[in-house]
Amino acid sequence: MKRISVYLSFVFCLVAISPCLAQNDFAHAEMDSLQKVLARQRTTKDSLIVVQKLVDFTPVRSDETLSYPDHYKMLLDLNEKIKLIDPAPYQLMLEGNRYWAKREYNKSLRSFQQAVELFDKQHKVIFPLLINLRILYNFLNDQGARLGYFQKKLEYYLVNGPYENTAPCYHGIAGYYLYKGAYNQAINNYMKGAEVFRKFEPTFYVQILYVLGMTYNQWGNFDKARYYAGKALPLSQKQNDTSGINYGYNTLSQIEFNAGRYDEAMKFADQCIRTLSKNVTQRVVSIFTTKAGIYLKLNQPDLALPLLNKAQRWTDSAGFKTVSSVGYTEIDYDFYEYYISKGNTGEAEKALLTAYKKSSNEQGVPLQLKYARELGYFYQKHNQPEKSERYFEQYFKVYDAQEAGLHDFKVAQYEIDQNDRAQRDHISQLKQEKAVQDYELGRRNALLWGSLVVLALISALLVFIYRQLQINKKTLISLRKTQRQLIQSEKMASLGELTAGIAHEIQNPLNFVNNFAEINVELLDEMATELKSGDKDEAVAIASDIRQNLEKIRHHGQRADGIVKGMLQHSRASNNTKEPTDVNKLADEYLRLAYHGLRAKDKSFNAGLETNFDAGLPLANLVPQDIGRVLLNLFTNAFYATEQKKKLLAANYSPVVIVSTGIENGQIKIRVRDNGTGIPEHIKEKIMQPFFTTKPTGEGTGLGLSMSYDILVKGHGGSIDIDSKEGEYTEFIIHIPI
Amino acid sequence: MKILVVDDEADIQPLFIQRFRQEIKHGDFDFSFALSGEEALSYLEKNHSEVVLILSDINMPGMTGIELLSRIRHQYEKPPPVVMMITAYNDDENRNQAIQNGANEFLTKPLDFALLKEKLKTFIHKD
Repeated sequence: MKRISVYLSFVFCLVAISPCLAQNDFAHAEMDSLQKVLARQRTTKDSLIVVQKLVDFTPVRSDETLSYPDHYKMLLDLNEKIKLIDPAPYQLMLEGNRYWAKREYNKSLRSFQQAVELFDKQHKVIFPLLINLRILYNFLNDQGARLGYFQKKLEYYLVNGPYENTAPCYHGIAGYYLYKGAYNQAINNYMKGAEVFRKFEPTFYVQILYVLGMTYNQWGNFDKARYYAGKALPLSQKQNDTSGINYGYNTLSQIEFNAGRYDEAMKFADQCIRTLSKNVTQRVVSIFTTKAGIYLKLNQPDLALPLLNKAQRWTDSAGFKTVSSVGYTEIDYDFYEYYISKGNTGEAEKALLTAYKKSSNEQGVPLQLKYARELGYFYQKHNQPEKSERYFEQYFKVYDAQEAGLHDFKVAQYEIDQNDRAQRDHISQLKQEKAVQDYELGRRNALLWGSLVVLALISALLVFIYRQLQINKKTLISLRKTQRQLIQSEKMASLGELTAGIAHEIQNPLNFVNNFAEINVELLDEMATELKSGDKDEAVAIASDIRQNLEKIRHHGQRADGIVKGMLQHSRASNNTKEPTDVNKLADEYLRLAYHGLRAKDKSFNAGLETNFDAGLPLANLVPQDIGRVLLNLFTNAFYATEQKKKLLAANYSPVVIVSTGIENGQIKIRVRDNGTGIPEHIKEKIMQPFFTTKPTGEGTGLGLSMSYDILVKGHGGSIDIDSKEGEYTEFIIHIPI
Repeated sequence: MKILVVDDEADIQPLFIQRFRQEIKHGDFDFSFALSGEEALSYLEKNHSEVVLILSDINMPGMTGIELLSRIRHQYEKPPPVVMMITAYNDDENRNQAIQNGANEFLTKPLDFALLKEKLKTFIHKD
């Protein structure tokens, strides 16, 4: 594709630099190869890309025929299938091409300009299209509008880019000055254009060097003209650019001709003719005419005539102009000189008048002046003073008009530099303003996008939070349910631990009740016997025993009753009713329950029980079943710890659990101490956490201490502290406000 | 004819005295009571020669009946026979341990005093 673009660049450069030349010879050959490239593309996308390149880099042909209109249609048709590019500017280009073909140049110009505006929005490199516009302005001969348009576009591209698009703008502006004969400004702008092209399009850069040579030639500075054309020619040869080389020889031939170095001019003319393409173009006509002119200057009119006749024929058929980018093609003037040399005054006059007329029609001021003056001299020489005077007048009229037009351009270099500097400053300022605008826009966009992103995030967060809340709500309900179940499980688990102990505890009082009841029955019989036998004292003694026994029966009955009540209280959900409670009794009751419970489960279990109850302990206002649950838990843990240690130490260890009560700082203090395994330092912090347990899976719920903490701290405003040394002892210290 | 009853239940004392009031009255049996294994050992230190039978509970806080049995067997050359009282929930494990440590007989709680009387009489007769 790189190669294609090079070819294309080359093609359009030629077209651009020689607006009045027909490019059929070269362009057709390259287009054919591109058509082959296009034919090889298999996918719609690849085909579209090649066609787009063709369209983008092929300016409209300057010979007033459409350049490959099929490509535009193909591009639009392919794009219709895959919608890869914005078709609007290409539709406008197609439209512009069609108007061009119908010679409706105004409409064509408008369509192309609209296409330019659309492409500018895409920031696209479109210098071939801009070159087309330059050619259209030439056709319309609207040099003022041309200057205005290209100055506006130049400023736009200098500020906004792309930089490449500034080159055809400079070229367009230069052309205006050239038409006006303001060579200084023309050359300035050509040079600026050349500088831009030099950086990215070497072929076009070389072509502008030739134009510079031609312009200096017309201005009369042949050294400068030679310098630029001479600089360009080796570059064309290096680029292997046959058309460029040919153009170079043509330019050099004209320069040397004007400089009066006819031998040199002839040499270049011959080299030019040798390198011509087969097709007849303006350049062919130009070089033939130049060569004819050289023969005439060398007083060889017979050699000039066939060349002039050929040139005349081609011009008549193709409508070539006298003034073009390849210089002046002065066929009629050469005929004039030919007829003068042959002494044919009549034909000479006719030829000179034709030349003058054409130059007037084409508004080529320098030739108009040249021919008017020549006519003045001609008629003066042939004794026609009136006509002579008229043409001299015409000469001065055109001259004055030109001078008047040039007044505006008669500016000292210093001022031109100043203006350039001012323009550069203006552009810099515009660039700065644009940068500020871009920054502001970027900032606003960033702010806008940022706000949108933040808004989106907040929305997402809100949705997330809302959903989480919903989930949490459900989870909370589920958790509460589970918590209730767990608490119940914990209660039931501890109840299970108690069952055997309770059975034992109830069994004993029941035994006493039964035994004492049986004894009393026996004693009553005995008493009856004694009364019958008249042993009254013995009967009274027996009655006393019966009474004592009944007392025992009541005591043990109450004992059993208390145990059953305690059991029910333990399993029942707490009603949180605080009541004055004997803590000593409560502790003793639960200690026994815990002990017997464990004994029931593990026959090998045993531990010494020590109780140091403070007899003077006041009743404490608490929820008995809750505190009972706490104590039961602590006792069970204490027994568990001693049991674990026993497994390690066996015979040399005497497990002991000591329960003490007392008063401290106006609070009930209960201490539960065991000489078991102790609590490792690293888990001390965790033991109050729910579900934390050191027991094997399935043996502990991990809720015992956590529930105890809640009951004591939250339920009773009390506290629970731990003192432990690993491997030696653990002491839980409870404080409950009275 | 001293019989030592070891049980952590204090009311076992009036119960035995009531149950065996006739035998006590007639001087057939003489009961002493200890509320723990430790108390029982302490009593035996002073009175072991008088004690002809020890009746002990197994499940007691501190020293258990089994430990007490073991200590007696190790401490005295001619220890008195020991009858173990086993509660309902004390199963074969306790029974096996007691046998291994030299228990002479077993009784299950709640005590059948008629049976107990027979056993005691048998032991005393043997003695």
